[in-house]
Amino acid sequence: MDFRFAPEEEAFRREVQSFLGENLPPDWDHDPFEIREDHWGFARDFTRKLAARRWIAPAWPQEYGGLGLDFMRQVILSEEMAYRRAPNTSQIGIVYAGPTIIVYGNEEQKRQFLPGITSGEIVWCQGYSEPNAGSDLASLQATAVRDGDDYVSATSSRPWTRRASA
Amino acid sequence: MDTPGISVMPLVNMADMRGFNQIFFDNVRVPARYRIGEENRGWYVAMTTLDFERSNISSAAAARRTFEELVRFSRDAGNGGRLIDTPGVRYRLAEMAIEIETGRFLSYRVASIQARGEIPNYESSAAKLYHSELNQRLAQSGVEIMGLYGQVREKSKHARLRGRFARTYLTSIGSTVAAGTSEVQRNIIAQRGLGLPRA
Repeated sequence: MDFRFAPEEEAFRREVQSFLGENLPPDWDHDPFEIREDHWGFARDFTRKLAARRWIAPAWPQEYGGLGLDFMRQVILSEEMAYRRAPNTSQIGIVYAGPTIIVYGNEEQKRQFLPGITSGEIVWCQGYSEPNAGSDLASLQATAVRDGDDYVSATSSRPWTRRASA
Repeated sequence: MDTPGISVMPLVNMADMRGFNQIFFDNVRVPARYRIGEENRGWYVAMTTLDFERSNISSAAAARRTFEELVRFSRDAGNGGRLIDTPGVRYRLAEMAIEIETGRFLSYRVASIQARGEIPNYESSAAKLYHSELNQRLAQSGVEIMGLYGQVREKSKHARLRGRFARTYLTSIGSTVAAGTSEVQRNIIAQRGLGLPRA
């Protein structure tokens, strides 16, 4: 059994490497997820360049802003981005929220939410933890009550929310 | 985030980074059409996001980069001899190289499940558990191998590798809590992966 990547996958890896070489300063060395305030401008510009190539989530279907590529291409892209510590403003949208919407969302929700992720314009954040539950999600207390066409949250707080300040 | 009733307060961690915030909800109205999945099935939807979150596909590549920098430092630095010629340092680096490669294949396993259009589950927990603990071992190796340099933060003129290990030694502690603790991951692997009875 041959565990190596296929030649066309290696070619894609080289394409990604040269894109990163052209669009990141040679001495770029910052944490990709903990983007400092003075790097947000650069991070958003870089994200737009990725989006212009439809490289935010290239394995997603074309109608939602992807390229419909094999999932392993997306894996290669994220490996190379991580290796270069490229700023990653879209991680929660690409890796957590988007795939879940693809599985559970209806068509209207897919059309509403997915293009904002693949264009890099909508930054998602994740708020699960609670003060009395921490990361033990089975102990969450927050509730929402249905009121006509809306849900209304009770008062609650979510510490440890990534990206909420973006 | 500009919906009435939402307020945000930054949380600064012990490495002086602002990666997280606390959000407060006070009678926030959200249109029901934004609900993903069926009513009262939110747990399962949320668990699916975690199956994806825990896939850790980029972690192995990130760890490899950090590891390569540590190897380079060990080649270049030393007091009257290169660090990398010290047996303890060599063995430690060799061990890290093996672990990073192992982590990479755990991630590829998750990736191949996603490539088939399936949702990974205990396989993601295994990748997440392994990488979060590996990152702690890597940070500790860096701090130990670099000696005093390993404890100097980025802003100091004595900082090496931009103070990376002094920082990740602190920040990697949270990684075995976030996205589910190591205990939660081990329970998932035991029950769903190995079919053991509930603890």
